[in-house]
Amino acid sequence: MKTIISRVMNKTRSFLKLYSQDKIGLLGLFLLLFILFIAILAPFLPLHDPYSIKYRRFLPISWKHPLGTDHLGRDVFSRVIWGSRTSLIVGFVAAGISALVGIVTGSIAGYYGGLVDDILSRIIDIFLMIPAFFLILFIIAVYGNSILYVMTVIGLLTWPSNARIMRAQVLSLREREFVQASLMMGISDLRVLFKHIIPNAIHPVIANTILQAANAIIIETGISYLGLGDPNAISWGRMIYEGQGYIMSYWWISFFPGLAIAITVLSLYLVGETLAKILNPKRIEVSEF
Amino acid sequence: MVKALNGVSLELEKGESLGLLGESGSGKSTLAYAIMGILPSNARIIAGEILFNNNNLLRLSERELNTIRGKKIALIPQNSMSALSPVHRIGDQLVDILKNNVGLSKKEALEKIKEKLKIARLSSNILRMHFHELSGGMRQRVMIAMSLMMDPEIVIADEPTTGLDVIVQYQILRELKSLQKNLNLSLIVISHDVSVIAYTCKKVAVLYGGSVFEYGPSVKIFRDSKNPYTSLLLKSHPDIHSPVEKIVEIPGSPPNMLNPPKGCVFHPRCPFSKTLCKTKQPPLIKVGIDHYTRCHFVKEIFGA
Amino acid sequence: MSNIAPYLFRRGIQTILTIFLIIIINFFIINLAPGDPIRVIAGEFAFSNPEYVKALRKRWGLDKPLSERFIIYLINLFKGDMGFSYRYMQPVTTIIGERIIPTLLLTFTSLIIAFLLGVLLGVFSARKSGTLVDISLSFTMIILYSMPVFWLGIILILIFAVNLRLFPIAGMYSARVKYEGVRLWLDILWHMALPVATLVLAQLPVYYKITKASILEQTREDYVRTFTAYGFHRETIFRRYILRNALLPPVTIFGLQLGFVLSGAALVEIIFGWPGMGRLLLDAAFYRDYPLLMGLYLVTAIGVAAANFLTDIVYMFLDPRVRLR
Repeated sequence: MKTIISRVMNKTRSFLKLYSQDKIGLLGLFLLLFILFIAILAPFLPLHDPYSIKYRRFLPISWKHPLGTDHLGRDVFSRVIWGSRTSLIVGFVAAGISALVGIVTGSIAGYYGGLVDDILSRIIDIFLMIPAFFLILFIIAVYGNSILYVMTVIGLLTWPSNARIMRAQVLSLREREFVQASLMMGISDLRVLFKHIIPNAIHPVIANTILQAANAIIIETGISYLGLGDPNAISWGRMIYEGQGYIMSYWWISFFPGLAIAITVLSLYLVGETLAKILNPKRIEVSEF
Repeated sequence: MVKALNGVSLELEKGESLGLLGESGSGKSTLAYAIMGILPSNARIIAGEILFNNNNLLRLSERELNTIRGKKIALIPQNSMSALSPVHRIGDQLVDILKNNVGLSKKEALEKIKEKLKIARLSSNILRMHFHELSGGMRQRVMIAMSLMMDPEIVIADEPTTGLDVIVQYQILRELKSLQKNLNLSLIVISHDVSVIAYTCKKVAVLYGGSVFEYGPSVKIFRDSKNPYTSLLLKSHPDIHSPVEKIVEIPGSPPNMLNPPKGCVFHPRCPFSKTLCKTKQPPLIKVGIDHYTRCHFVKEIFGA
Repeated sequence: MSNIAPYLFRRGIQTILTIFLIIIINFFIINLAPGDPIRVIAGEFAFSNPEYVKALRKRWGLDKPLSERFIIYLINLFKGDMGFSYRYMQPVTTIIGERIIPTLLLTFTSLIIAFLLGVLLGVFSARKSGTLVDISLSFTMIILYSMPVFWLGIILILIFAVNLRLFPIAGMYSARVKYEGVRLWLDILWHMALPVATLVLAQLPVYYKITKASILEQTREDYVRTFTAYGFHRETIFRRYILRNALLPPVTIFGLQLGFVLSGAALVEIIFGWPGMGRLLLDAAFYRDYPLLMGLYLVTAIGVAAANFLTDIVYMFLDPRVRLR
C-alpha cells in the first residue's frame, strides 16, 4: 500500500514539474482552479440571491450590483457566479460519460479488431459526420430538457472522438512485447486489457476529455441560448438568451454571461492543450503496473 | 549547452576514404554537417578551422558556401522517407537542384541526371515516381546519384546503410567503393557500424563524446587498436573470421553531452581509468605512422 | 496510380451507405419521439374533435405502422419528394429550397474567407515563430476560439451595429426599400457583413493553428537539410517545398469543417434574423414538424457527407502517399 502511494506521489510530482514548464498551461490551470473554487464556494459567498427579483430592473453596473440587474430585477453578478456551477457540472459530467463510453468502445474495437472493429469504426465515422449540435438540439427539444438530460445526451453523442483516440492507442499497444508476453503467460484478455493496456493508452484520452468538457459547455450554452435548455437551472446560455432583446440599452445582461463562458472555456482549452503536449503518446514511456 | 564536438583534428587527402565511426551522440554527424555548414541555426563553432583547398570554410559567407554545397562537397543524406519532399516527384526535385545551382535547362538537367542514375544502377523510370514508392535500397541509390550530379570532389555519406537489409547493404557499399575508385572521389563515411567502415574506408576516426579517440589507417586500427574505447568497441562486434570469443559489452551508457564527464570523456566507462583520467583530457599522441590515439596510458595498456 | 479508381469507388459506396444509414437513424429518432404531431396540427381542435383528429391522422398517413411509413418515406425520397410540412402546408422541398440559398451564402463565404485568412496568418506566425507578433496572434486566436459563436455575434452587433451604426442589425434585405439588380446585391452584402464576420472569426483559429503547426513540423523534416546541403536558400525551400507539404492538413480540415460551420451558421442566422435554414430548424423541432425536420437533417447530412467525400478526393490528388493503398 505504501509503495503505491509513494509511486503515485512521485508520478504526480514529476508530472507537476513537467506541467509547470508551460507558462500558458499554468495560467489556464490557475484560472480553472479559481473558477472551480468560486463555483464550489458560491453558496457561502456574500452574494445576492440569484433567483430573487426584488431589486430594480435594468440597473446598470454599480457597487451594489457589480454587473447590474436583469430584466426581472435579478442580480447579474450572483447569477453569473451561480451559473458557473451549472456549466462546470455539465462540462465534467458530459465529458465523463463521453470518456467512459469512448474508452470502452475504443478499447474493444482496437483490441479485438476484425468484424467488431469494422462495425464499431463505421458507427464512429457516422457519428463524427453528423453535426452533433443539431441532433442534440432536436433530442432536447423533443424528449425533455432537464439539465440532467442535457448532460447525458451531450455525453452520449460526443464519445466517438474519445473512442477513436483510444482505439488508435490500443491498436499500437496491442502489439507490444509486454502485452504479448502477458497473453502468452495465460493472463486473460480482460485482465491484460484492464491492467496493462488501458492504463497506458489512456493518456491522450485524458487531455481530450478536458477539451470535451469545454465542448460540452459550449454545446449546453448554445442549447440554452436557443431557449431549449432547462428553465430552472441558472445557465449562462439562457442568460444571454434572455438579455438579447435588451441588447441596445441594457447590454450587460447578455454580455457578462458570455464573458464567463469564454473565460471558462479558455481555461479548459489551455489546460487541455498543455496536457495534450505532456501526455503525448510519443513521449510516454510505457510502464508496467 | 550541448558540447557536441571537442577536440577533433583530421585530414583527408584527395581520393582517400575516411570513416567517422561512433555511437549515436558521438558527434560524427555534427562534424560532417559542420563541414558543409549546415548545422542548425542555434549551433556555434567556438574554435577551429575547416580547410578545403586552403580556404577556411568557417570564414565563408552563406553565398560563398552555396557555391561549394553540392558542387564541390556533396552530401548523401541519411536514408529516410522524407530525405526528399514526399509530395513532389523525384525527377522534379533533382532537376530543381541542378537548375538552382548550375542554371541548366530542364532538358540538359535531365540528361545529366539520367547519366548519374545509370552509374548508380537506377532506371530513369524513378524520375516520375515519388520518394516513398521506392524501396530502401533504391532510395539510397537515388541519394548517391544525387550526390554525384554536379561532380563533386568530396562526398559525405551519412549512415549509408540505415534500414537496409544485409544483402542490399553489401551491394550499396560495394558500389560506393567502386564509384569512389573510378571517379577518384574523396569519401567520408559516417557510421556506427564497424563493418561498414572497415569495408569502405582506408582511414578511420573513432569518435566518442565529441572527441576523436583514435585516428589512422583502418587496417591498423581494426587489427591492432591502441585505444581502450576502440578495443572495447571492436570486441563488442563479433568477427566472423576469428575464433569464438566472448562478446564484451561496454558498461554504462553514452555520456550526457549537456554535462559531459570531466577529464577524459570515456573515463566513467573505461576499465583502465585512473585518477589522471578523471581530471585531464588526454591529448592525441602519435603511436605509429599516421596513427594517433587519445589516452593517457597507451604504453601501460597496450605495450610499447 | 491505378489505385485511384477503385479507391474512389469504395469511398463513393461508403458515402452512399453512410447517407442511407443516416436516413434510417434520422427517421427512427424523429418518429419515435414523444409528442404527437397530429395534436399540434389539429391545434385547438385536438381535444374537442376526435373525428377531425382521426381524419387528419389518416390524411398524413400517421395511422400506419412505423415500418410501413418508413418504406413509404424511402420510396418518396427516391422520387425526390421529401414530404409535406405539417406546419407550413407546403412541400418540404419547396420550403428548404427557399431557405437554403441564404444559408449557403453565409456558409461558403465564411468558409472561404476563414480558410484563406487563417492559413495566411498561420504561415505568417510560423515564419515569425517566437516573436511578439506570433505570441500575440496565438493568444488572440485562442481567445477567439473560446468565445461561443452566438456571443461573438451579439458583441459584433453591439459594437458595429448599435454603437457605430456601420452595419444593419438584422435581416438579409432592407425591409423598407425594394432594390433591384446590383443595388440589391450590395444591400445583401451589407447585411451579410456582420454575420459572415462572426462566422469567419469563429473558424479562424482552427485554420490558424493547424497551418502554423504544420509548417513548424515541416521545418523539422529531413528534406530541409537535404536541400540546404544542395545550395538552396531558406526562402526557396520554404516557398517551393515546405509550403506545399504543409498545406495538406489545412485543406483536409477545410472539407471537414462543413458540419461545424452549419451548426454555427444556424445560430448566427437566428441572431441576425437571417432567413436561412437555422430558424427553420428550431421551429420545426418545437412544432414537431417531422417531415421538415427530416428534410433539414437529411440535407445537412448529405452536405457533410458530400464534403467529406470531396475532401478525400482532393486530398488524394494533393498527397501522393495516399495513392499507394
